[in-house]
Amino acid sequence: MSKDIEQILNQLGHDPVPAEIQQLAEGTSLRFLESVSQKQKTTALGLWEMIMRSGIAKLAAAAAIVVVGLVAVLFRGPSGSTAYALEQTLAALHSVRTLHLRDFAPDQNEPKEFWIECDEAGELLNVRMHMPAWDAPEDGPKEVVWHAGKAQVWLKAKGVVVTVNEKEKLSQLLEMVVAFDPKRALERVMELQGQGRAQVQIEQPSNKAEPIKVTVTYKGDRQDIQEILMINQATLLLESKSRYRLADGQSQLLGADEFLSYNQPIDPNMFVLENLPADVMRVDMTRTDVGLARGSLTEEQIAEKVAKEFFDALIAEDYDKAGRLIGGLTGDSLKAMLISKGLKFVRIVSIGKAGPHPIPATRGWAVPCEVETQKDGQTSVAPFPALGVRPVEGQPNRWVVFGGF
Amino acid sequence: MEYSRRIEVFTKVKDQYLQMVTAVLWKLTGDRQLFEEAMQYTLLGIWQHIEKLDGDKAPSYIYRIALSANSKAWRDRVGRNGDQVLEPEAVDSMPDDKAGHEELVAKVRQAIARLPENQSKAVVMRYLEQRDYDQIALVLGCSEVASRSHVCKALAGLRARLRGCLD
Repeated sequence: MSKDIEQILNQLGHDPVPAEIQQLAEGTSLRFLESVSQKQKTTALGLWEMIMRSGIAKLAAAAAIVVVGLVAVLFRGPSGSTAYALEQTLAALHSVRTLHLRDFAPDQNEPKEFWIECDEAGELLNVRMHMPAWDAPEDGPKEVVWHAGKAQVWLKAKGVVVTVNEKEKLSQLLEMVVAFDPKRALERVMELQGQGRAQVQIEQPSNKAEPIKVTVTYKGDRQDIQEILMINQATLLLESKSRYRLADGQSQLLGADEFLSYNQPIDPNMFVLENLPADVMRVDMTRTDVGLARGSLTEEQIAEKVAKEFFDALIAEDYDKAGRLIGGLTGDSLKAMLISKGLKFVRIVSIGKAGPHPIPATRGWAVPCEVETQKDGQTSVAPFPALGVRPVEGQPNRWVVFGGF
Repeated sequence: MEYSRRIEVFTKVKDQYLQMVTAVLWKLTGDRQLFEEAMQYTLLGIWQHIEKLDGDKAPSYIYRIALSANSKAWRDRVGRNGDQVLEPEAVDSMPDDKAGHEELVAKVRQAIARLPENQSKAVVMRYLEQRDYDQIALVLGCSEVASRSHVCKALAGLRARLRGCLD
């Protein structure tokens, strides 16, 4: 392939930015602005940084958002006025222990869906998240359950269930969630209202079957952001929340949340991944026996050793060991996958010197290997020019194969 | 700076530069998740350095923040190509020439993230934003000749890094 660098750069320059990406940028910046607007400087930044650093950033961020309503907060009771006041909703949220909600994005038919369960103290007990493919097209649709610091992520399109240990990150995140004190948020709205930068309008229909409509408009230099909260008059809980951008006389929907139920018992099976395909591959990143211990070896030496032992295990049909060396894949899954492909590993032809992985961000090493394989009765030498090897996430002294083979 | 003033400046900067930052980061990442991470880092960077963004040098700082965010996002990335279990189906299903091109473009993007600051700024403005050299010079605070030099050095650096892939 003969390509000139300028040709590639020019092509990149002429590629248009998809509308979806523009919306994502707008949404991300608005969430950030909202975050820093509503909270004290340090906690807001801490939370934002935490969300970004989380390995399951989007999932954790989503959890943070939905858990807001479940966190016990200090609040003043209703003012005594017969007219509705936002504090009344804060009071109602105080006793919420379970929540089921849907999160809609513009131009997407399928919403994200969340089921949240907290204990009496407001601590998170269980979470289930349904994430449609549009949320991360590279992953495809995902089902996620979280309990006691471990998240299981079912990547449906890839036929893989990955277990990750997120206890520390999520517990830190939940502490930060407390910073989302709705009372403080409300005070902030009132402060902005006092500065002429936010307007709060409450419409309370005389018909108690109809929801109270709270319209909050945040003033910007070029555009305003409007949030519309619909409050159930009987329960005083939020039924829905939608956000709009107002510019040039136009109103553009940015996103909406629909709160389907509060305090309704959630079937415990919701927090278990059920009906998984029989051939689903399971990868448990929380196992302590994944990979090989580096010991006193150099990084290059351990990379080459892992590569050799991985292929040795495949040749010996020791799928449990090979699975451990590829990051916690179960032996049965690995065996089933190889059988389905009719692939057998016969002998190692060569294991070369490890070098930096071609994708620096992987922080791994690449080991060039050649292995004799049999497929459909045919024997051939299969090259693996850059078998990836790197430390296990969270276990820096243990090394595994990554990136497929 | 007062907290309310920080928010005011941040909002102004966001309104003024979001479109530009979005285009630059998208062209440098080409991947939704990576883009989102880079965008988050950029917003955080803008917030942290908000005092510097309330003046004439704001455009230069914005580029610095966005390109630094792009580099961080690439560095942080250990998933996707790295984390995929077994062979990446998407790549498998592509024709060889398309897969090869996508891989090459990804390498170009990564290589830009590793260029010295002024070179990466210059090459991004010149090619990804198709700007003239006088505009580049204005942002970089240098002469037009120097801006051409930054672009030339960047191209040479990219060619050197990608020598094996471009042949």
